Amino acid sequence: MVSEASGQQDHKTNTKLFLKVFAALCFLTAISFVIANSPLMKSQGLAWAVMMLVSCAKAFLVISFFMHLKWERTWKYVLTIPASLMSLLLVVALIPDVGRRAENYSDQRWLHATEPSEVKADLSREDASATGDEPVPVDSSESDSH
Amino acid sequence: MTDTQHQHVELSYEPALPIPRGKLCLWLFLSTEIMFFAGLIGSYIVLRFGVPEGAWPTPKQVYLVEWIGAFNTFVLICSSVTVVLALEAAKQNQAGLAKRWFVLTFLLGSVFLGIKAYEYTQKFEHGIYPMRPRSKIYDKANPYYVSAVGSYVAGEIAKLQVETGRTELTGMDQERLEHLRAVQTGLVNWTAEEVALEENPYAQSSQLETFAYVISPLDPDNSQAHEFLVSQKSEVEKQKDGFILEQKAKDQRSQEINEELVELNEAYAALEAKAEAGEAALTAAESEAFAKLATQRTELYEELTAVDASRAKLTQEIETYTARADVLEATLSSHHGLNEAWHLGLPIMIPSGNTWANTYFLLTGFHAVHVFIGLLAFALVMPMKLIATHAHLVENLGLYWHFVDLVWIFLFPLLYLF
Amino acid sequence: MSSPQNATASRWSIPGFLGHYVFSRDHKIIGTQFLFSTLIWGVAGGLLALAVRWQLAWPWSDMPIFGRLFEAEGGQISPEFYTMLFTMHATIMIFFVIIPMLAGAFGNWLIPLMIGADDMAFPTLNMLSYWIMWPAFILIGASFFTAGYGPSSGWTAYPPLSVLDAAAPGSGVAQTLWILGLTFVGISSMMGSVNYMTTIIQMRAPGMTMMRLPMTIWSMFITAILQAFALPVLTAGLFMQLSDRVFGTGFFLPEGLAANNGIQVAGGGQPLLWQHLFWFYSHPAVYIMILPAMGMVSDILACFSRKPLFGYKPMVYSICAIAGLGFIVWGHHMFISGMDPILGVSFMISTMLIALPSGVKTFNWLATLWRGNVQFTTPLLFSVGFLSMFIIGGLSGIFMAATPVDIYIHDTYFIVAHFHYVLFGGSILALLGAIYFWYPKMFGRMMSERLGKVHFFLTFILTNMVFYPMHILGAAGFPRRYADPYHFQAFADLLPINQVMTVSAILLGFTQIIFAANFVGSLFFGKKVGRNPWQANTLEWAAPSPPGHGNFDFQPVVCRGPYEYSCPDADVDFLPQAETPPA
Repeated sequence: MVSEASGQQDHKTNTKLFLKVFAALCFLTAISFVIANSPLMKSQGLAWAVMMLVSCAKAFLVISFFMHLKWERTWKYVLTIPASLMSLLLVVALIPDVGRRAENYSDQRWLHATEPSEVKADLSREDASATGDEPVPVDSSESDSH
Repeated sequence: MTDTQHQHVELSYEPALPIPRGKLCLWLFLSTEIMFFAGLIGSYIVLRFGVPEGAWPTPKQVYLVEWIGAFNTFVLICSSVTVVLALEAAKQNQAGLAKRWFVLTFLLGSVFLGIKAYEYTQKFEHGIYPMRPRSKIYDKANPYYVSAVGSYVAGEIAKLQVETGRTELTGMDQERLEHLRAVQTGLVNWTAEEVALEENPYAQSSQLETFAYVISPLDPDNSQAHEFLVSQKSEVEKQKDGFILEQKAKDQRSQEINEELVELNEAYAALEAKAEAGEAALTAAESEAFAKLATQRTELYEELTAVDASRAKLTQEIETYTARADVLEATLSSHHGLNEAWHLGLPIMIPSGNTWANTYFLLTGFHAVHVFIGLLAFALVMPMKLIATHAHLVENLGLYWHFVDLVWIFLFPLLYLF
Repeated sequence: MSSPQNATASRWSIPGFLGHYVFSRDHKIIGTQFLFSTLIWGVAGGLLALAVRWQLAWPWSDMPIFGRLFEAEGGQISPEFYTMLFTMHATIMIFFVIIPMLAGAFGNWLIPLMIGADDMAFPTLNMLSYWIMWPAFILIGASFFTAGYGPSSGWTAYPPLSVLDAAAPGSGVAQTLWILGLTFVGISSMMGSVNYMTTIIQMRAPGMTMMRLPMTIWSMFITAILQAFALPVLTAGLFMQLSDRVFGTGFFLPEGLAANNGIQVAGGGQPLLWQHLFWFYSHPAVYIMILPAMGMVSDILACFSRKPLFGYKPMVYSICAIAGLGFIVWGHHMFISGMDPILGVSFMISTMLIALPSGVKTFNWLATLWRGNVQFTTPLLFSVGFLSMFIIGGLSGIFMAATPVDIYIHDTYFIVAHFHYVLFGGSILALLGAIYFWYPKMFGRMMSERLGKVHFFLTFILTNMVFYPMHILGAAGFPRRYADPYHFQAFADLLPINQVMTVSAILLGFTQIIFAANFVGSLFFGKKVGRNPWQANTLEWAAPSPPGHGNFDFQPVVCRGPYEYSCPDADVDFLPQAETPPA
């Protein structure tokens, strides 16, 4: 709406602004990329959180500058906030049943569940039973809900 | 309704929002799109983080290249800038400049799709498809996986044999057939037998995981596994050598027996002929010798049968151990296991690999569909003169395009970096 | 015909019969198209319901019509055929009758007229939203002629029944057609809802502030929001189920599903994921099916009580509250699915909360009637019918909101009683009332009041005779979705009740012939009416009956709220929202 009243001057500043936003977006993408290839990935939760924050920052930049929401009136909140909250709600509500399903697996279910796989080099056939390394995780909670 | 045709009046309204209807409609549509992608991305998040700890493939295991994804992010961000500059130019009534930015946006969108297509073919080449009959991914190293590899190999061998019936196999096909046979004996049957003989479930599972590792290692840099395979290979070769020595001994014995038998048979035949021809019976000594010869002969024949049987068995064992050694040799010679060494396209084991493929193709697929629809819309608007009166079209298209970019901003870390 | 008029006509339709009545962009024609399509599908859905009732009253006896049409040997149906019957009954009634009749037919007819607009914001999009329904009609209709005679995994399509081809005879092509059909319904609804929202936000006549909107428009607006936010999630789920079926992915099936010595599906998914995605849409869909009915009933009750609607603002807020809460209660459909108990408790509490705004609405309707100068017209009778049935249906809903009670009555006929009270007793009665009420505006003629009253009383009594006993059956544990519950000794004694219900259902079906005769007959022989036969206040009554292209022959300027009835200072007992200029 601002640009309606603005002249050539504003146009130039706008273009400059967009290029600045562009640079910021590229920088943020680079940050995500660097984090993913850095030792920070060892503590995955933290790295994921930082990457999601970076994504949110990028989304904020795109929405407010490229989609012009910075210059719109209050209706922007009416349209964007409910949708964002609803989508968050959906994901949060899916977590207990689907996102944590592995915690409720029964012993029977574990027989078919995927699990991290690695060759146990120390597991030759003779001393297999001697090692404590369990290929089949046994759920201690004895949950049979599945 | 003909009688009610009345003089039309142009009605005036009191709009609640200071924006054109088209833009409002587009924003509302984008809200529904947010929910659509919330459904998709939400499903991905819970499916992905719901798998047992650590059982999600790393990008390398599914041939996902992070920097390609990052580059595609860059391409989309560029296209977002160009479309916003096109809008600026259109608002300033600079139709030519607007058109140039617009075309650039279109091209960048096409580049994005092109890279996406390249990434997809990379997956397809490794048998990663989202769908069951084509997908070669198995989630777990279990007997089902072994039997799947078995039937795949058997099918390939049968295919090649049908061809053999028709024409001479080329050298490459011949080699492939040999490799397939080696896999059949040295890997599939080997593991199936070991698992069947083994009673300890941990050892069984270890066998199965070795099986999967040999075909396509999830962690090719696992030095422990490498050492294990090296030691297994030397053991196999040692046993094979043992078998060969034994076979040599047996061969020798067999030859000895045969030679002895020739002598014996001669003596025996002479005595027998004498006994049959002459009415005068054999002397007592002779008949004693005759009986002794007979028992000796029977014993030797029995031994020969036994030796021959064990020779045959040893041949088979040697064949099996040779195949096993070949398989291990090939595995150790390449960084990425048998599939890389021999290019047989065997089914691979990736924990949660199918869920990964399903969600990856679902999310990127629907995003690509949105990109494609955006490109179609760009193509439709392209012939227009992008003057200020058409700026709203560019604006609405741009809003949609930014949304597509927005989705990718979240998809990129979720799919490539996590 | 002067040239500007031609220009006007071309804005809504191209010349010729096809352009005028078939591919019209006029919201009224589109609304009528929705109305007729849904009424026809209503007949199909009703016949399916009668077939279900037949099996429950006279199990395994030769079924008339359906048995003969589909099953080769005589007329006896199979258990799988029975599951197909209730699946298709629900699918058709929900997606082809109630939702499109409320949002498609009445939403289209009333939104522009009641806010003083000449049409929807996007007439072409509006036309498309009707024609996108046709692929859905064809796909779902075609599924009757595929293996299994139609999908048979229930309208909820729970995996694995709906995903594995071999799970049931109807789980093959029919299920794929069903998913595709629903996708088209979803696209149509999405187009419609975006259009409605834009129209209501941007195209209100001067003076028509949001707080002067009739309740019908408020409810349509909130319904459109519900559709816009909830439907895409179902669409996403439908795409995933489609790819599970067609491509063999495994979003809704766990890994390790093996048969014939091989892994059959990609796996890795979770059946509960579908249930969550499905009910995330389908619970708001329940409000999509009742909110517009509530809005229309509010208008009818105020009009015939000749009183302002009691508590207009609380009514608006409670509709918003119902919609808002409606988004966070979907889990109450899954109490016995093995869902997380903590999640279950939170869903139970939020569900209970819905009783509050619903109660506000109920008491406001009663207060609107109280000491009003009530005119017992057919629309009012149906609205009162709606009110009483909604109270019963709503109260039984509170039973099910409580998880411990629900565990006992889930999948019994108590549930069936509940949602038929709300959907048939609620939505359908309100829809019938709305048809009687707005028929003069739609077609310029009155429907017969006498026939209408006969229709109402028979419908009302028979509805209760069909659906009330279901509460008793449900409390006795009578299971739903069983072709032959009498197989269990405990339910054998319940057969006579079922026979009474089935006879009532058949009579209820015949009663609708009165309505059909009234509807069709009045098109030709009904009394012609002027602009405002009911002396109602809202804007549509200021337009001609029926309105031509462009709706209004004057610029409506709204100067008051929609419910200024029996104003003490006025000469007449109603004060229209906009003054009609003298002819």
